[in-house]
Amino acid sequence: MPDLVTHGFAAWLLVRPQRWRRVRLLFFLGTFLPDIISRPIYILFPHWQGYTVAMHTPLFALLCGLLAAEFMTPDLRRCARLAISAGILLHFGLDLMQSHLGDGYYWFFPFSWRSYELGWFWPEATVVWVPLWLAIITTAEAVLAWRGRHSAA
Amino acid sequence: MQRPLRITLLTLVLAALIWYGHSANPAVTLRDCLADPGRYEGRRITLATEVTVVQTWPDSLIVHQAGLKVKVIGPPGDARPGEYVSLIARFRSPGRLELEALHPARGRRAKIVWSILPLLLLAFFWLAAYRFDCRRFYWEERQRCRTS
Repeated sequence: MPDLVTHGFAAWLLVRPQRWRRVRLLFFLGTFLPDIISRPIYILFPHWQGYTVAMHTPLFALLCGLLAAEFMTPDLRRCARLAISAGILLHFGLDLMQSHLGDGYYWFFPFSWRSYELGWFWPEATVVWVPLWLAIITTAEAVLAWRGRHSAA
Repeated sequence: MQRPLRITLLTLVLAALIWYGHSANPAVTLRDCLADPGRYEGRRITLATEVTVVQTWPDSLIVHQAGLKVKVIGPPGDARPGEYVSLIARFRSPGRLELEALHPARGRRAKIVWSILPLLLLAFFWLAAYRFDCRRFYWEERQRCRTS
């Protein structure tokens, strides 16, 4: 996976417009979900890595997103399902661009153990861009807040 | 379909997928090889999950994965002790590897540390936007965040 700041930056580019305000956090949750459910387990408990194989796959993450949406208020549930699922798809879209030694991710799990990736960059390569992503987000949010205050006045 | 039924069904399917992912995965691990060296002699394996370098020499290195240490025969390149790496190698009994490819995952620690920041921000904004209704067991929008 690229780092979560890079995932978050891609999500921010897509859902920053005001019309997405209500589903923005749900989209971010979906964007981070595949890594939230799998990475802490095998980083903290490497012996359990075998149990996390399924977790970082599209089907598992989408079902997990549907489960998460069940814990939203009924009037938001349908939106939550769509927004979390869209965020998950964005996550895997970025992951598809990576390169790994050996197998990458099992896109069609549990139906196939074949993996495929575009091989454009190594998973840890994006970390050098993190300061740039943070600078862009911070500057843009500051400008938008400043413009919002001035237009309100 | 009723909500409790949907939650139960999804939880069961997710549990089944975790079990299947563990039990049906065809990948051979270092643990498999060391447990039955004769069976896996010459088998090509990939070590990519949480593998760190313990020690290096010009023609070999020792790596650590999930409590196991193994000697890898082959030039370590510019990998240094303590760094994360991923590698492809052939298993040779009773317990060493012949290196075929190695990638030092320089920057992985920074990646893990940086990745905590978005999670903290998400948690902060989530708690600002939603509150958990313990009686109905779901998150609802705080009034000031509602736009419709």
